[in-house]
Amino acid sequence: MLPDMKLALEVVNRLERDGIIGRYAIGGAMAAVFYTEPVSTFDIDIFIAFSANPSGLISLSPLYEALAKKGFSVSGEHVEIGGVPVLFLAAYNALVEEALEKAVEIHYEDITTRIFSLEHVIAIALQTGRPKDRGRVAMLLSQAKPDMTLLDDILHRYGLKGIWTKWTS
Amino acid sequence: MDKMDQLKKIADQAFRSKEARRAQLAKLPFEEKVRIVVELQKIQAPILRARGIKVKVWDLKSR
Repeated sequence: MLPDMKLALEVVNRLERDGIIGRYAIGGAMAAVFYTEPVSTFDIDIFIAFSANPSGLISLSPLYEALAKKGFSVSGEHVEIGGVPVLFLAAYNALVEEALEKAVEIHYEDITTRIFSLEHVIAIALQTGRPKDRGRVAMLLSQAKPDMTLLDDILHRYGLKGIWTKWTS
Repeated sequence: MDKMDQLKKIADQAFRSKEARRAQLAKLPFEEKVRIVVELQKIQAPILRARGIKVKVWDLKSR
């Protein structure tokens, strides 16, 4: 049906299997789309667990080099894989690290991949706090059924109860 | 029922129908949602490009 998205996921799975990247999961708008009605987005955000090098810095160079060897080049901040711009992002804080750890397995056609849980997509949107995240939270709450006990726990642990109250009252 | 009440009733019904449609879309298989995302990209891309924003519509015939 859509060989390009499938190819992108196949390539990311291969990178994980080959140890080029650590555990990965789909986040951002495409993760939200999994739980809600389709909305326009132009890239796939792939969050990755990276181990820092001895200097303490995280380098995406090995990833880009591996992709270049497979014939996929960097274009701006994206790597275009099979016609789909893929944005690779290191898990940038504790909440995103937890989202990556708790990501759920899903299937896209015959490909197994991972996506952030509904509760973590909501929490990350609250933490990011842009106007479009506010719309995303409203859509997720009206069209999906988060586990409110789990969500409440996440919001409490990451100091997001205030913005939750502000956005949902 | 006066005209304003009638109008409110029609508007309420329209909003309920829209919500129901959106709930139906949310239940579609992920593969179908991705196909719709690409159709939305085709609609939105010319508008964004006219505003100087570079975007790429996913190429369905890339492989």
